[in-house]
Amino acid sequence: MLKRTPLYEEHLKLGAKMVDFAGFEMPIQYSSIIDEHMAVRTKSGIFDVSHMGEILVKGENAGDFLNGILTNNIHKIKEDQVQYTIMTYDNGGTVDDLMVYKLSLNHYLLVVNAANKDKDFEHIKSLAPADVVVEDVSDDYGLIAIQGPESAGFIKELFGEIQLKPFNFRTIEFDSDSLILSRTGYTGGEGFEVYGSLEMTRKLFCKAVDFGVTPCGLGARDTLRFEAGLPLYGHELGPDITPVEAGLSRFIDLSKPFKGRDVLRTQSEQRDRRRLIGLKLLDRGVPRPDYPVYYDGKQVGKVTSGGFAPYVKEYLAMALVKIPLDDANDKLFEIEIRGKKHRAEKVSTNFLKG
Amino acid sequence: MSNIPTDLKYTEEHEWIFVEDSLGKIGITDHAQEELGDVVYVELPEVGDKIVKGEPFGSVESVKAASDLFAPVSGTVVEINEALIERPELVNERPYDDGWMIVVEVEDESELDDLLTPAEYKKLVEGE
Repeated sequence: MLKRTPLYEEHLKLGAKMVDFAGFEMPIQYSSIIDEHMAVRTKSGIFDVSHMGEILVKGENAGDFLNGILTNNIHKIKEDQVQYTIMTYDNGGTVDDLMVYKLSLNHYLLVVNAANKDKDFEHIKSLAPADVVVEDVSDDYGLIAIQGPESAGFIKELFGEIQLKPFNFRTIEFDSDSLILSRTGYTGGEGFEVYGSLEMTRKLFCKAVDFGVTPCGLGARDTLRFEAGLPLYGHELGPDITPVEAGLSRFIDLSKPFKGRDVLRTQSEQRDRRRLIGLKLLDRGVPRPDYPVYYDGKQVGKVTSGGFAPYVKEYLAMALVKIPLDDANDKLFEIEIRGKKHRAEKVSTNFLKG
Repeated sequence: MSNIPTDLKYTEEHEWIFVEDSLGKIGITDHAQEELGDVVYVELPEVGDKIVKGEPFGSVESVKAASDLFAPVSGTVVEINEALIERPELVNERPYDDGWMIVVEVEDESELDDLLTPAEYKKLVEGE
């Protein structure tokens, strides 16, 4: 039996195409993925991301415990701040990538990928010391993301003038219920995420749509994150891909001990290893995951995510390749698309900002 | 409900063909474009290429997936829709009109007899 979010009925009313995603019936698109993508880049869009997992970790040693299983340094954030981080195995492979909310001194909320939630919970629980409580609270939270250059307009309409810096959040009382308003997102642009009760989530979603915010499905969520060069677990990250290989070193603090640190340290000093690169197609074609990538005529890896990026209007790919680092990488890259090699040029993975 | 013009013939793979004076204009149906979603790339054969009934002659790619295009008849390509290179979205906007893909010189018009009538195609779409 597929799970439904508190917004299931609203999605149907809006004519969404529904798909099975990580055990949930989710909207893939309402109108057109490209139209929804463009709404988020130029105006504002709202996403139902209630399927994401939420795990509470609390106790006097919660921070130190989390610091031993996550790559980023949790002690760098204060209360009411959010941190992007990666959970790694001893071999440096990725358990999941996640956001950590520091609710209070010894109280953290971890927001994890829906498909990984049960695995993450077991992993954390199995490592937690007796005095740290780990609790799966996913079913208690609805989550919506309001994204785009005009998203602040709707937030102001709802809550009035609120000063919130990127990666900061605030607990707000609204309609005699409390919610978490966070200046975060997964689109590479301006935006907010709101965690609330199931009823609050439904209410806010309807208000946003009435206000003129474009409802957006998982299709646009993927094209947006791809165009911004943001990694997706299962593509750019996985048990056999380390965060160093995925180019996420700025979210890794090698100065503190954590699971997999030695492997990540060795890798980060290696010249000759796999790394994630951006590729721009010079010959038209749509690169898709697992398509082979060639450098100077030799296969060096494969595409992890690819496609047509609607806002920058280019055919692009992220690819995990093993090429020498100090080479200028000025030889020809090619992507084999449905049996034919297409020329490509190495570019920054942040396709949006370059 | 998707649009199924009555003056066309259809394949089970959702291509349409309009034949006049031994020239067949080919594209994909409204139902096909609806199922695919936003089309971002169309790969077509070149003028002069031969296509063979039932075999792929190109592909259409949406944000979500790539699909082969299957030839409704055998013939020689005499024209391709160059506009689709810059504006693949025409396939979504006007699948039976500006979104056409190729024109072929039909080798054997009797091959058209195996294709689906509008009524048969409608049944196929409704049964999916």
